[in-house]
Amino acid sequence: MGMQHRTIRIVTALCVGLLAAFATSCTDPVKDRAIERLGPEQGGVSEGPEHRPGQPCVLCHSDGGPASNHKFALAGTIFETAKGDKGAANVGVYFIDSAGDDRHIVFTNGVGNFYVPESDWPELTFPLKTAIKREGGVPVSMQSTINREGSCNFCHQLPGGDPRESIGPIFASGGGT
Amino acid sequence: MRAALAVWLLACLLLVGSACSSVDANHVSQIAFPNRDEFKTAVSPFMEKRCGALDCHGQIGRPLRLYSQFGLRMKAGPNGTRDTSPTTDAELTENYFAVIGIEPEDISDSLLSQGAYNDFLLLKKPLSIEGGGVRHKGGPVLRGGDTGFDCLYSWISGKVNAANCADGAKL
Repeated sequence: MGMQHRTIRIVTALCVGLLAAFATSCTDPVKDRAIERLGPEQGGVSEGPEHRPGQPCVLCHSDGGPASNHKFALAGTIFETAKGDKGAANVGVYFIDSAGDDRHIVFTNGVGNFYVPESDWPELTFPLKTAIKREGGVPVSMQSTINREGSCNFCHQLPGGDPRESIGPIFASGGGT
Repeated sequence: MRAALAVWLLACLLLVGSACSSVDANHVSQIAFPNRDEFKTAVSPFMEKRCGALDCHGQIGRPLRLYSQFGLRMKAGPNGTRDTSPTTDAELTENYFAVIGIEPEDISDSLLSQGAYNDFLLLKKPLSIEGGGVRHKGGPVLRGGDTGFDCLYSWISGKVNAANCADGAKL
């Protein structure tokens, strides 16, 4: 009887171990490689709202990403100029989704980063339109819609990216994007 | 024993032989494609705006790759900068081949039937499942009565409605 119980315990432990191994092995290699290419934290800035300006935020801040405990629905960076070297602070970012929800307005922080936590907009319906507006300035709308990508910087890459696949950084001077 | 083996081998050879039917070298499949010039002037501008964004079909690696001035470019601009010129003729041609290449036989059947046949991806992908469409990673982007949908349908039927294409391209 004791032998039988020990065998059952061993088999159960093995099954649990195997299940745990399977669960942790289900990752997305494409996403993993994309995150790896982003490299380490830069400029001595640690993880937080001002880290990694210009990078595709939602890549990590989503299911399966290393920052999945702070998931973003939408996020990006606005720079002062098209050079993408200085963030533009306190720029308003306005969204309206396909369901007509226009309640989500966020402002850029000191490095130009902005984000909408996923918990703030769980019902977001793509595609959506967006515009930016500086205090005292005029709103400038994006010419196309955002169709499925929550990371603005996925398309609006920093200079140095592949110019065929990037429209360039979002920038606030002159109200341009 | 040997005789039985020989019979089995013969039977197998006959079976294999009958499965390999000969190909008629003179057979020609009739394929008709919708007008390329109409696509370039009316349909592509609509699709560039509504389907070809960088986060959709204007992305390397996606099926139905679409090039445009608003999204993916075939080439970089001068000194490796972004090419901001209007969509080039070469890009329009690539877009045409991308679209007709999805399901060439079905598109041909649709054209030859003047739109009576419409059971293929180009017309079903943009629609919601409830609206007669199929699963689309980008979700439903058109409705059956939209000018944008009519742009695709009218072109595929052989009589493009350019006004509807222009209207459908408005965001």
